[in-house]
Amino acid sequence: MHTSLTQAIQHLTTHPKRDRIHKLLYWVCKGQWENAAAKLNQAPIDMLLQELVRNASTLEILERRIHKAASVLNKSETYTRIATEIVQSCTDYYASISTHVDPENDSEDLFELLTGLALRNETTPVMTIAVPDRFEIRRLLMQQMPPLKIKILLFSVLRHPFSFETIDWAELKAKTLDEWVTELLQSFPSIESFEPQLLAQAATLTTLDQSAQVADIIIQTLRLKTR
Amino acid sequence: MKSSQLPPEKPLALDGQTLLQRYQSGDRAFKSFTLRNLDLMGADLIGADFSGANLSGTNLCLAYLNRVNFRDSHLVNCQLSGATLNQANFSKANLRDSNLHGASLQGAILFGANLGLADLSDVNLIDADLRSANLCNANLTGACLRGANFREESLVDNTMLQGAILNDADLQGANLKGANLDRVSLKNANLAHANLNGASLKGANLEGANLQGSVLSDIDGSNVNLSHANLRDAKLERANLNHAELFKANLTGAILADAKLGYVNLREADLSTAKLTRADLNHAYLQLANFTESTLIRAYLARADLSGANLSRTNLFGAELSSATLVRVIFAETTMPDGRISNA
Repeated sequence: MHTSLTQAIQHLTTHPKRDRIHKLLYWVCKGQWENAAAKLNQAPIDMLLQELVRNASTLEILERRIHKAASVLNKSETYTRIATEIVQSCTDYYASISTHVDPENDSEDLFELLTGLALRNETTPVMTIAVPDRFEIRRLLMQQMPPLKIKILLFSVLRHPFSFETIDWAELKAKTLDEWVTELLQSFPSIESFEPQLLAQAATLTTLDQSAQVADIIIQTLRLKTR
Repeated sequence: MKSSQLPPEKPLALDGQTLLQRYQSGDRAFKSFTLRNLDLMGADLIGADFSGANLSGTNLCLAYLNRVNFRDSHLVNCQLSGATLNQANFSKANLRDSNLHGASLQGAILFGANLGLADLSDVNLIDADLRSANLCNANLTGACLRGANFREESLVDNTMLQGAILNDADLQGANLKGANLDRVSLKNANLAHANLNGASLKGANLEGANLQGSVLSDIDGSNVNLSHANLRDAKLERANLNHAELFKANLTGAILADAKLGYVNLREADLSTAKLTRADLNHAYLQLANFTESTLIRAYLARADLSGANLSRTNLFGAELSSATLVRVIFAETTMPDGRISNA
């Protein structure tokens, strides 16, 4: 491996924000947002960074891709800073290699292909819930379904299928409905990206009555209020 | 034997299976039955009559209980988590220490119910009737209480909320007229357009709460914490806010005429266009507060600290300002107590 790239990897893996760096690299390379440590560990930072530089022939291309990926996330300001950190760590590597830019290949953006972002409007709204909306989302959800059922489905999507065991009850109750909704919105870049997981989890969650309706209510309500 | 000498009738007891069978066959009357410690999780008992029944310790988690009559029933330590209880009648029911986490109680009648120590977190209580209910030390974190009624019924029959936790609760438009909210925690709660006229809020914590357009006239809010609260256009006439904490509060357009604000901390608060006619602000901490275009006619500001405050276009006609600290105060087209305009 190129020495400069080894140094970049070393810098990023020992960085205090390594978890966020890892998540952003995973998002750029795989086009999928991942919070689960087990899944992230299957694609370590060194592997992801090598993949990223392999698919970005110049520093400018890498910079554009990673900043674009960060800009669609809920915590876009935080991840933009992380993106800058990654780009800076790769500066020496790109300076040390002779680059040949193929304008044809440049149009093939892995991130865009994976996520379909290229097809969307550049100004895709980021789902940051303002305080009045937080109460409004809560009211709309609660009026359609007992809040516990909504929490159980969100828990099942964001953690694992709810077991009705004491340990799951404790974790479920530790967060309010608002906090579960916020976590859902922060874990996925768009409603479209969590819709399949929500519906799939609802279909398999036999212990929760009306689970398909619960999934539908969550999707419709968030679609309405996060436009 | 005379009828008055007859031994009291023993309440009928049923097991869970028999109860469900009887319900499925069309029976709805379970008045005064003993139904203790049953497992009825997810059961469909819509419209049943359990008035006067003893259901203490029974598991009704995720059950369907819309329009059920629980009037005068005993539901102590009952599991009602996630249950659908819309328009159910809990008048004078005893729900002490019961678990209603994530339940739906929209339009439910809880008049005079005992909900002391109950877990009501993330509960839907929209349009619920909570008059005269006992909510002492209940946990209502994250609950939605829009349009709920807590209105004072009589001097001896108020809704009791002492020690209740209502952080993040949604009480928009709720009727809390005369309610006793002493030491209640309402951090970051939504109380926009709520009616708190004459309520008692002594020592309550409303830090970061949204009280925009709410009615707080005649409240007793001594020592209340309203730091960072949004009180835009709120009505606070004659409110007692002595020693209250209003650091960085937004009071734009608020009406504070005749309010008692002695020793209040309004540091960095926004009081632009607020009406403070005859307000008592003795010893108030008003450093860096914004009074732009506010009205302080005949306000009492003895020993108040106005260091760095913005008094642009403020009307101070007839105000008592002689012993106030006025270091680095911004005067611009300010009407001074003697009526002259100051730009100093």
